[in-house]
Amino acid sequence: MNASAPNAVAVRMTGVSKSFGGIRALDNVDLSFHKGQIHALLGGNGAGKSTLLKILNGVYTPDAGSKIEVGGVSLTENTPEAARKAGIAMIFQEMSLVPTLSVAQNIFLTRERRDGLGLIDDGEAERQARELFGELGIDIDPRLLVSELSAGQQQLTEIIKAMSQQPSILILDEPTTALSSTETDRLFDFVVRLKDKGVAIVYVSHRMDEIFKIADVATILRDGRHVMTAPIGAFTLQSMIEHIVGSSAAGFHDFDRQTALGEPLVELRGVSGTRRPQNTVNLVVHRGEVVGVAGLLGSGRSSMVRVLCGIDPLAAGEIRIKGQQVSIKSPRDAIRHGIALIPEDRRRQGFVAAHSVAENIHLPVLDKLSKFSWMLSDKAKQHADGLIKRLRVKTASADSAVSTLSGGNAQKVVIAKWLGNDPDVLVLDEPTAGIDIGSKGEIVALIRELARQGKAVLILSSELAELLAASDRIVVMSNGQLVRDIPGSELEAVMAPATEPAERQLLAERYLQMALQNRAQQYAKTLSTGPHGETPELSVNVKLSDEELTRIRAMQAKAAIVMHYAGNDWSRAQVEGLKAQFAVMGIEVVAVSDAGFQAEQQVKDIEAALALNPQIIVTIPTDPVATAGAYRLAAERGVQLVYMDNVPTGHVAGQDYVSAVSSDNHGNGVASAQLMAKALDGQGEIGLVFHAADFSVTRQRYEAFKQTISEHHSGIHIVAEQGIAGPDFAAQARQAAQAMLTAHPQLKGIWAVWDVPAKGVIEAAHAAARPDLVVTTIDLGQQVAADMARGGNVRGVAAQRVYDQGVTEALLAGYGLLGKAAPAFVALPTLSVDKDNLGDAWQIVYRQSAPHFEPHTPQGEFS
Amino acid sequence: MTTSTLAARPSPLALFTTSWRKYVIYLGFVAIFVIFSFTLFDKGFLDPNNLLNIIRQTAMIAVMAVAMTFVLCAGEIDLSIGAVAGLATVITAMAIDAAGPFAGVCAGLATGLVVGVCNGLLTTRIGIPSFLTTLAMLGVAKGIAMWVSGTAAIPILAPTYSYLFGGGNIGPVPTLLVWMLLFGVFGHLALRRTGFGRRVLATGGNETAARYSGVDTRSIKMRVLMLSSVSAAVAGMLYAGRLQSGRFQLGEGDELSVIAAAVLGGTSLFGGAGTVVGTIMGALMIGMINNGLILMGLEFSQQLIARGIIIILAVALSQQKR
Repeated sequence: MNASAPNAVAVRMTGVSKSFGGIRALDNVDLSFHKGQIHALLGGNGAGKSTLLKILNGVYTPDAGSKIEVGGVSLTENTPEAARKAGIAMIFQEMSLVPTLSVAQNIFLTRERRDGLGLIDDGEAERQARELFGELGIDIDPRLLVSELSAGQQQLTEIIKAMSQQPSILILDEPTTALSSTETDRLFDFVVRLKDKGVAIVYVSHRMDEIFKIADVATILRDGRHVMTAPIGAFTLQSMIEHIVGSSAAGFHDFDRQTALGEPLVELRGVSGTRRPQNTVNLVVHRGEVVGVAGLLGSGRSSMVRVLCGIDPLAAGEIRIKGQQVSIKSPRDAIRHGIALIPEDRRRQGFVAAHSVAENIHLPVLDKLSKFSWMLSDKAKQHADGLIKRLRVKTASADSAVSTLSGGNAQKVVIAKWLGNDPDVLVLDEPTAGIDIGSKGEIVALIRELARQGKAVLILSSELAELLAASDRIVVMSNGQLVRDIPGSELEAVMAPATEPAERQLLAERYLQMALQNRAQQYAKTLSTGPHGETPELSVNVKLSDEELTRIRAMQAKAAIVMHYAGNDWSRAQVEGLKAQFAVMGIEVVAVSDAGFQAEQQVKDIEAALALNPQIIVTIPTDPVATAGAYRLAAERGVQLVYMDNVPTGHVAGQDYVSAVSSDNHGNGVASAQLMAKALDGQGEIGLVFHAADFSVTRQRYEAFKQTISEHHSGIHIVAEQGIAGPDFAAQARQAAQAMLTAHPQLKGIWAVWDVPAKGVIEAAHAAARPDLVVTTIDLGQQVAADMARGGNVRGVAAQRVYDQGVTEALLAGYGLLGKAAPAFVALPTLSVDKDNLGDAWQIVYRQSAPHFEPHTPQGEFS
Repeated sequence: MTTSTLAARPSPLALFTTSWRKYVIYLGFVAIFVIFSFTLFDKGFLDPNNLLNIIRQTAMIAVMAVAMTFVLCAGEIDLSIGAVAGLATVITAMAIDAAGPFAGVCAGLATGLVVGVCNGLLTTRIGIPSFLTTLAMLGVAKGIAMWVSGTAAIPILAPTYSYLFGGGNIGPVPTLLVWMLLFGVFGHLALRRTGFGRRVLATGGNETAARYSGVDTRSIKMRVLMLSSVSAAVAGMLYAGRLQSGRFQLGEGDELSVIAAAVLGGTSLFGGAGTVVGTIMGALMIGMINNGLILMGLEFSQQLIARGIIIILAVALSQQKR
């Protein structure tokens, strides 16, 4: 696969500068991009990112003295053509597609496919384009004109266009702004595959979550200068924002939220548009309230707003403004009723770039500012100056062209333009798209301010962080319907465990992400108890302050990780989480051992680890009795022990060990029961394959499953149960399931206690020709995920958040080092996973993009 | 995979309602042809000679309109073509008079080339919009033509030249038809099936995107303007051959018919879209209308009014709603 050494330098830029007139956009920047690495390029607007990329891509010529080497060869010519020949491809932020040409024609523009006569062969281009789209799993007809595509489709086309050049260096500038989360996942998947092939990837995004998700290395630019380059693990969200913005962090902080609401200003009652038939939306927005509308591309959120603002006709239902039913047939009507739309595409729909700030602001209120068509210059000046001041628009003067302003300030001009009419209702569509993080905060603050002044505000945004920061309430749209209404209090409860703004935001964001996938119920609720019956503490409450982190780093501690078995996804992800968090804490991992489920081997592992004098051992005891002595030895040496899932007999929390961390096993059982009930529609006979051993983890799952079914789903009957004891869990589960299916041919579903037995159950279902048999289980293993992804027997998995478990254990080890009181038992909430949210869940569980699940089954016997 | 089905494939009905405008030129052509066939039957509209007349009268417009299609597709415009055609008739006639037909052809082509280079350089290097460059060039070319000819017609006494350039017939086929077909076929292939044509469409469709994709948009604009002027010179030489003389007034005002022909044929005035086949049809339709109005016996003033109204109607119908 790796044709070239993985970390060879792909591009080396030395002393690169660029001036426009007197302004230095880039100042002596030294930077290298490496093969097989995803390199995030970060910075606010005007930091020089775009300039750097355009130099790299040959659009701009750098100043004299700048040196750029691509693959060791100096780049002498600065044209897009030369850059392309050097293997550089770029996905542009501003679209580089020609709207009047077809998708295929755009992809192969300047590299047209030719027939035997040397004439352009569009048929061949269409065929190749179709193949490329297929590779990424995108369904776009390459014959369509680009102007007929949606923004998301255009973005995907843009991406395919760059990728079709098989570049050795791929630059992505804000590639996901118009993509849904599924499309984004696919893109990431593809980018990672390119990275594995040794392509150097430069990634620019304002979305911090994406950077953390995908980048290996990050470089921060500020004011045209290189600030720092470091592995992504060296950053926290907070520190990254601080570096980008400069000394004072001004990201999204918690803004004051209005609690007392005024009267309802806008009411949508059963509203349907013509474009979306099922769009029967009921929504009330009060005076002083900001309502965020979340939804994926095509969820109908834009359609709803288009109806409200008179762009699309109302097909059914009614719209009330201040309690009065109104008829909104055109944008003029909407404006008359006090509704202002701040459109998504600023440049095209929001302002006239070449006109001055004042002229733009005057535009909607010309009638008020003129008498008999004669502009009253004093009044006009007052009006514009007032608004510029009120919204703190940074402009040289009211007479400067809007094109000279930064994205954030241009957006403020658009808002100012509409405020001039003094609307009651403001509708903002993607108000901060393409604006840097500092200005985003300002726009959000402005929105809050407007709400305080008594406006009702609707915000549509695909950036969850922004929705959370700005909104009092968030409604979720899906498939043309309003599916959830999440009040601020619910979000507050989700964020409550955390105090750091960045962390609070992350919690809420994840919650909202799950809500978008309709799966928020299970989150943040744990019911299981610890090994000694302890009440669980939530993992989000385990955290270290910056000061504590500094103290831990100063200790330069060593840690050993002693696993029961290391050959599965569960162990691997957990070790990765541990290592990542230990790296942040400046703790060296000196050993990772694998006992292959053998107690005796594990005792040897512990002794070997102790010889390395670690201060920390994080471990999962294979057997609580046989290993107890070896662990006691470690405890007596003063090693801080953190247990996973299982605690050796006789050990006492706080004395012998720091803490035990486990997935919420009870919750796992509950979630897998709910998934089963959902897949069966609450009716039918099922069988269980459980773990026949005295193992608290699996016992809790089993009990919780049975309890949930008997208490909540009276239509479901458990008619068969079979315990398995290993070691070959898959084979035993297969035999058990086969026996059940023979004895109970009407059996609708089988629950398996974890993913390995589930594999056996799937095999039995195949052997019995029962593709309809519903299987639910616990643990998101690769094979059950693959089965679920291709619509096999597995319909739901209660997933443990394994990576996060590792992170939590490492943090608790830090508690031990500091002598800080730690909770005896910490549990991680369950994720309820089905086919629809598989990609997102995989990301949360493993911190990796979901693999591309092959459509065929891996085992020959069932194909 | 099916969850991400993004492609919106329009239904056949929607396809018709959105794209019938694309084919309005063909519908209109047939409609007018049918109407004239009935109403002007007794005036000999369908007479083969009359139909060949239409082609003879249309050829020059068609030749220029093919090039204009490229200019419009690249997002530019050329208003100087009528005057350049006129200038070419004069220069060609003078060169034939002085040094024979071959020199005449060379001089005519050189005239177009020089004007095209001027238009191109002024537009792409200095950045004067082509609308202004070529409007100014219209005056300059006409002025030169009047000046060098002393506003008089210059006779061409070279039968070979007249035969090849518009005067003769090959069997029953007028050479003008051959010229028109030549331009049509090569123009169509060049626009649809060559890298140059694709770059022209990209430049007019979204200049920034084209530049970022590695298209030298300045060179493309330069080349379409040169193509336009040279084609205008060829059209001028056809006028000269057909009328066996050079005169500055030949081709005067043709720019409007040429642009109308291209736009009627579906070429966008905003760049990025157009077809040579549509343009040829547009040119023929204008020729047919002219011919029909003459056959109807309308006064010239009435012809102008009728022609204007018909063209406005047809263009309005053929424009995509934006």
